[in-house]
Amino acid sequence: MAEQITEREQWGSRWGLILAVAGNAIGLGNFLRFPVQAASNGGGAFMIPYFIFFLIVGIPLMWMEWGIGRHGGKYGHGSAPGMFDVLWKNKIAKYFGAIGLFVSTIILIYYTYIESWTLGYSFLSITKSYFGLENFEAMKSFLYGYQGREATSYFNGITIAYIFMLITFVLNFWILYKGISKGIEKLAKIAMPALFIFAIIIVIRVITLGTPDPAIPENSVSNGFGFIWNPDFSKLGDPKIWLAAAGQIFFTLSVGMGTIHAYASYLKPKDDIVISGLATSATNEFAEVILGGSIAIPISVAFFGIATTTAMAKGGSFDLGFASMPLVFEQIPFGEIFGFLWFLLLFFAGITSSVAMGQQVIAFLEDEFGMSRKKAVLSLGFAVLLAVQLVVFYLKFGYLDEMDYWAGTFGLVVFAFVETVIFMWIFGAEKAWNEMNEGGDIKIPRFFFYIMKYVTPLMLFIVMMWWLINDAIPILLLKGVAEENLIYVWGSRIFMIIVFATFLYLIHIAWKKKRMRNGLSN
Amino acid sequence: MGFQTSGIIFMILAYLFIGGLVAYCLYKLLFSKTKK
Repeated sequence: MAEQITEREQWGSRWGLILAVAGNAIGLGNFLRFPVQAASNGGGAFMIPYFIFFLIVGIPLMWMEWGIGRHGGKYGHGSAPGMFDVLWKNKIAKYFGAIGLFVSTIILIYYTYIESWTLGYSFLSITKSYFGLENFEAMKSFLYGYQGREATSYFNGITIAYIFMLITFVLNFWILYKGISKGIEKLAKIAMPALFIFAIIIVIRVITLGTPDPAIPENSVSNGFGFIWNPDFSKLGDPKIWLAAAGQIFFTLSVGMGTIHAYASYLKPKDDIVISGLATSATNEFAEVILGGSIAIPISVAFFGIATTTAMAKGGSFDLGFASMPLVFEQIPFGEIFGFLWFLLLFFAGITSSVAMGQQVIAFLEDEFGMSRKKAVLSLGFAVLLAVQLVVFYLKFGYLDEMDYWAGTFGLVVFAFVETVIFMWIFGAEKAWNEMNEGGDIKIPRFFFYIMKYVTPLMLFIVMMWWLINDAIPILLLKGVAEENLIYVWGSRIFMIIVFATFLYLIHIAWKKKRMRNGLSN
Repeated sequence: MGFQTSGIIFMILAYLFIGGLVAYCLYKLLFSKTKK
């Protein structure tokens, strides 16, 4: 394909790139989802499938996505449609890339709102706004009041949540407007070290808590760690545990979205991706297992015991992070500061991920339509700002949950499976292997070749089928959806169909324009 | 319940695995030919 390659932006430093990709991977899930998954799926035994999938799905996908991204960047493509088009000489290839754009855009829309809760809660922590609430139910009611799910005496509507949503939105798009090196890389260089420092401070506070109430010796940090790590080997016979581990690896590394591809596209053709990809994965695991596993669950067990922590965790990761953690903060000295650090940490984890989602779409508009960065950022920003209104106002009706399942869960595994097949089977395993190893500081061990060619796509296919049968079909058939929420769930689906169709149309238009340009120049 | 020995072993193994990976990557990043 004789395409004109225009001058593209570049990363300022290798460290900046690694921090940015690690920031993309490290999200709220590292600190909220992982500990809940580990504790409820066999504790230490969960780590066996977790690390197996890390080796056979996580790391291989990470290298493949860096490889696809850098390869696409050589041809001036920073998003999945263009990347797939150069890997697979087929007219339909580029349309598969719409899945990546769709997933990133939908997640960006609702993640911006979720991310804003963490910023809002860091403010509410330092101002001690929730201090005085005595139990989990009251704290949950406070959270629901903040989110506008319930009318409570704590908040007058969703004004505060809306203000923080706007602040978060402006911050995200301002960083995107500043560009790769001056925006995203600068953010990563500030936010990532800050995130680690805050997390280490909180972990030290957690492990020095001991037994907060000597009258209840079983409520201790030590038992909290036992709750996460004591292995229950009987659970290993349950395929659900293996699927849960595969899912966690998938979510935590932020693969299957097209965001890593976008970042890697700004590399030079001979830049290493082997060590960079491995370093990104290792940094994410450090944040998840060592830091994430040492905060929410141990502190919750220390204050409320295992039974209550289990009940809290069953309500979901957000109940654990936004209801049980504040209950702890109000009971410890300088709790307002620890609460502020905890939620700011989550905010940094969130914003370094959301800018990555936005970057892929901006790269698509810049590279395929020749838009200026300013115009691309304004276009996406305007669309996201409009769409996020629906998430804000229809949150309590399940509007966000529907998006989270189809884009943020099922869409990821579909995209990962598609990209693996295109890269390893259509583009060709040997070519893909050489592409990934090009410029590498080390050679990827050869056994990963067979893992990437056979095991990773097979595992992705199994996970995809399992989720399709066990979750996607019941969700599609609206099982368990309250009658009054049906219209909002359908509204969410129609919205997602419109977004997906829009991307298909934009891809069609972009390539049509390119054909016309090439025709004129020939 | 307590923090059982098997739990402590699993935690140490996981920490060693991740710590080792981080240390290896840091070593390679600091001493690689292509570092910037």
